[in-house]
Amino acid sequence: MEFNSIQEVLDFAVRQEQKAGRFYGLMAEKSTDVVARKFFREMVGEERKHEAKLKAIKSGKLSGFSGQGTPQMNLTEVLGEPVFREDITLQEGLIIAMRAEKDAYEMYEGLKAFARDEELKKILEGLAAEELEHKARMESIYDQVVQREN
Amino acid sequence: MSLKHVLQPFNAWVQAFSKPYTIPMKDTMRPGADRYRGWHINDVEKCVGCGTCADICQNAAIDMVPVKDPVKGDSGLRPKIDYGRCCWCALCVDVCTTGSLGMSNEYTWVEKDPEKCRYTPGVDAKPWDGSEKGWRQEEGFSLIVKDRVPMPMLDPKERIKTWAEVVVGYSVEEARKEAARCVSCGLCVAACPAHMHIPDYIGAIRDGDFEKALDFIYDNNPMPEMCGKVCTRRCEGVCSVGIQGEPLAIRWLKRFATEQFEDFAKVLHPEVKRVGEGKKVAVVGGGPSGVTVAYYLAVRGFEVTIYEALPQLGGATFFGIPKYRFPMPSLEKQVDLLKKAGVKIVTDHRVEKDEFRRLLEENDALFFGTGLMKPYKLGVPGEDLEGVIYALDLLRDHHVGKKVEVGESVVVVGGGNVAIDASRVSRRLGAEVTIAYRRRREDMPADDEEIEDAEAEGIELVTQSIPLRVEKLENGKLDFIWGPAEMVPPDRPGGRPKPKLIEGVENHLQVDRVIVAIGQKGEFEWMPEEVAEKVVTSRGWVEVDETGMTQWPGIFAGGDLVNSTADAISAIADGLKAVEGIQQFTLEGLSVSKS
Amino acid sequence: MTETRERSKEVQIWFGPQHPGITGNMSVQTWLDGDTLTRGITHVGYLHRAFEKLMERRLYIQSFPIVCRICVPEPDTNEWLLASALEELSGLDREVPEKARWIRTLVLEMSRLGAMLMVLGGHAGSMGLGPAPQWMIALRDLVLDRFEELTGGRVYHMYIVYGGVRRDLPEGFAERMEQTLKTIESKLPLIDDVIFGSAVFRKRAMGVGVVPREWAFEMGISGPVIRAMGIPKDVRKDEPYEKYAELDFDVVTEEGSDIFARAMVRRREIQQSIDLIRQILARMPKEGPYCAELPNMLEWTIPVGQTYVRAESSRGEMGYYVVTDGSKKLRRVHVRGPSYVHGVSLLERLIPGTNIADLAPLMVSLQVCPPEIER
Ligand SMILES: Cc1cc2nc3c(=O)[nH]c(=O)nc-3n(C[C@H](O)[C@H](O)[C@H](O)COP(=O)(O)OP(=O)(O)OC[C@H]3O[C@@H](n4cnc5c(N)ncnc54)[C@H](O)[C@@H]3O)c2cc1C
Ligand code: SF4
Ligand code: SF4
Repeated sequence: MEFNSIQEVLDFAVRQEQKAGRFYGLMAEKSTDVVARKFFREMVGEERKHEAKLKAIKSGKLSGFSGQGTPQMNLTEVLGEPVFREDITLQEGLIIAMRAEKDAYEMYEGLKAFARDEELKKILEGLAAEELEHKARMESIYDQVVQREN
Repeated sequence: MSLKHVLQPFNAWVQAFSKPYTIPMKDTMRPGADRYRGWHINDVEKCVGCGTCADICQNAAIDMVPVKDPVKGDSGLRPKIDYGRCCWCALCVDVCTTGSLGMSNEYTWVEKDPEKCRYTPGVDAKPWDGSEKGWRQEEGFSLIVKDRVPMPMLDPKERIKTWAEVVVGYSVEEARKEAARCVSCGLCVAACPAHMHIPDYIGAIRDGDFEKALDFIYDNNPMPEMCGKVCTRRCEGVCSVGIQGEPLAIRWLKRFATEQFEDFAKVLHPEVKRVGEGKKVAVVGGGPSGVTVAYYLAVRGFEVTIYEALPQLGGATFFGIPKYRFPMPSLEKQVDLLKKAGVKIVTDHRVEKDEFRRLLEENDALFFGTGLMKPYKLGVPGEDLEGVIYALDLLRDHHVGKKVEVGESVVVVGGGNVAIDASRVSRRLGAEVTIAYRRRREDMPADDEEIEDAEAEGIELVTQSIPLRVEKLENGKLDFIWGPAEMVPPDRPGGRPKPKLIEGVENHLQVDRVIVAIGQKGEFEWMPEEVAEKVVTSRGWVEVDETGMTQWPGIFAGGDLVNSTADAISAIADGLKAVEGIQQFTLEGLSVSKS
Repeated sequence: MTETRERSKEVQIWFGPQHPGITGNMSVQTWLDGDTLTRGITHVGYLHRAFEKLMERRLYIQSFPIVCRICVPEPDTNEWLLASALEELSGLDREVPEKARWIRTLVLEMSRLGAMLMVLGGHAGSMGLGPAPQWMIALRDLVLDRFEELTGGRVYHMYIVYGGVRRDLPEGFAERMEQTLKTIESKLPLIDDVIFGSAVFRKRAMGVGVVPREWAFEMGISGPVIRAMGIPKDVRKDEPYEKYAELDFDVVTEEGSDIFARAMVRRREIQQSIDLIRQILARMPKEGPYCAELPNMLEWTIPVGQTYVRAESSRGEMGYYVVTDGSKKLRRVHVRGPSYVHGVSLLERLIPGTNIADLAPLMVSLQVCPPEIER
């Protein structure tokens, strides 16, 4: 894959977020567990927020990414790889979300190699950092909800 | 009379030429002695506004005035001293629970405005604020008693052989002596989720009036014997006596009061108006929140039926908390009072969707406190292997009388009360026990004393250990594989520090069972979809308003499902809130809406 | 007829309450024939603060800062009496540490010393001997310096508390105390010169204000007043408390029972106190607790009981009759001070026949302390 401009990169990123949003939407529709269902719906909203942020950057309304620097716990690396079932639980849903954010991060990291100039590279780095932040936030929720006593 | 006696007095003149030994002015301006009792100073950060200084001041020179918002453990008040009344006795300094109050060695101060001679030390700036000298508390003299009357306990070596209660309980003398340590500051009342009348019942115990103590206790806690044995005692955490000494044994004193009576119904004198006659309320779930709602509504004349899936009421305090901490007879005593108050109890009865709908129809209000009945999973590979079990299942099976086996060695994953209970039960079942916890010892949600008790019983604690996976070994045992963690700061203020896996290191532990106790969650399969959709959040909790009511008018909820603290007393507090909410809701004439 | 004529010769004069010669805020209503007093009635109540009653409304610990106020120049005897009475009734007396007992004895002697320095000055002052009172007050101030560093206060010490004392001796206290004693001792010969060596003092003190020996026991006279009759009565010897039994001292007596004899008893007891303080400091244990472990003072109850405790103040026997009823507060305290006997009953009896100019010296010699009369 090759990008010629920042706009192109951002368009791609927007499409990624939309894809993710559709993915969560589908899972929300299919889940029977009320909690998982509500969680996926929330994630649809999250992805829309990300999308809006990217669009704002594209149109110049936002100058760049501003990660909060949520610390990484490396939880994603440890936990198993659940797949979607209709009776999927919140716990598994959270792991799926964590993994998706991690995948997205790795993708942007990988794309960096193909960046033509410094500016492109910087925007890809920004996108990668943003996904890493999302991953950390998912881990943090997992930590608070699932591992209350651990 | 001789000439000598006429002349001798003239010796006084000699003095006219010698250095005067009356004190010159400049000497009187010297600072006071090192322990002089001069103008007060107060380290307002250390002071917790307990008001003990104001209590002891016999001149009523001290007013407690608000200087900031109250928080748990700090009333937000600080002593303001009226120097028109103060007699400089320094009793306030000597009694100060935190040691924050002192007196400087400054004693001169000229002020035109008499109003200024009332000031709040440490808040109203004064030149002597930083004074190092003056009267302070000193080792070897105390007006309050800092050491707790020790609680007799069974010997660890003996107790792991039985299910007998570990804590023996205070004798009358011990209890009254312990109760006499209280300074009645009331910080505990604010910290207790149910705002129990702590100084009042402690005072009654001190005075030997145990009936009165029980009356105070039952005013807002229908399971006090349970709380007296297993409560998380947030009150003790803020006890002002505990700041420089050991906190009052509030939990043990409550326990003592309840243990004095075989039949509560004979000694309680609840003063209530039976306002709820003719109103019907269904309670689903017989845990502490449900019991609270049922009891207080029943004494107010409501017709209450409580439905419980298990054979006994009590919820997690029945099926979760082991009997060596909270024995059956104690639980039965409290359930007995519930019956006598007129509550209909239906046990072994799990409410399902259709019945729930019917109960909604037939009652004026419905409360559910169905708790966190399902364990969260470990989430790592190998979890499905035989031998990986859940603490909640182990405890429940054990407590409803099913046979349970744990083999010779177990590892319990988790650091809460559930983990500790599963460990100590496993120990009593004969196993060697290791607890693997992801954070540090001080981060463990379990009660400190519980952790100590577990260690005394020979249970090993491995902290900062992150489970990686479980494998089956050829010898039939399980290989519990874990990696070490480093701690990173929490992402929000006041949050728990986080463990971060140090990658590349693997440790092995051979065990017969891996017992998972990392957290519990609510279960909503029994709940009609239309209700669940409305009341359950995306984190698996239930949201209620300040009256305890969910988004669905007429449906109230409380307990572990609702609060973030997940302990018995918070469940009781939720129940109390819902009692008021339900009374308000039903007496305003609204019926349960089906919207 | 004769009656009225007799009366008309009498002049009535109020001595006090605003008179520099009166010992504190009280007054004596007197009748004179010429310059001889024929009759006198004492009036007290000018500083009645109802201490005894106040204490019935206070926790025990809250009564502690009250009692020192019963005697300004010598508060510590009151602190000790209340403490020892309550310790006896509560059983806390068994736990008072050894060191506390020594420190208490020290404080009691220091307070006797401070009080006697002041009264001796008063003896001179009441006869118009100017410089001596100033020196005596200055010397007393040196004792107060030691009190200040020991107790945190110069006048009201609030230091002897139930179970012991409130603080340990500060570092280097004994050395500084010795320095103070030396200074006082060095000035005493001069005091002797200007008071006891003074023709004025001797003339006005000898044979004046004589208390008949027969009254001693019938009136309950004590302290320097009884010892000046040659009767060796001293609570510290008769019924030793704290560490007095272990100390080496003789009861000071003088003959004559007049103002001079009483002043002389005090002069010699100043030396006695100095000696006792030295003995105490030399024998005081260096280590160990200075107070028993107290119960929570906000909730302290004392079983039903009553007791009478007594001590030798500089003025004579002080006693506390204390009743407890099992509650957190005193049921009754009755303060038996020597001043009631000396300053009211005895004074009124001595007045007839006394020259008006001798009334002030007489009152000083009886060491009348009004706040102690009107507790
Ligand atoms: C092992 C363990 C140890 C603990 N130790 C302590 C401790 O030391 N101190 C402390 O303060 N807290 C402790 N807790 C927590 C405390 O017990 C809970 O916070 C408290 O019991 C929660 O009360 P609750 O009202 O939410 O209901 P729960 O106690 O959770 O009870 C819910 C009840 O609802 C019933 N139920 C669920 N669904 C249905 C249905 N559909 N129909 C009918 N009945 C239903 C369940 O069977 C259960 O009995 C412990 C918990 C556990 C599990
Ligand atoms: S020093 Fe004594 S009188 Fe003054 S405020 Fe403190 S307790 Fe009250
Ligand atoms: S006793 Fe001490 S901590 Fe309590 S309010 Fe007074 S100064 Fe503050």
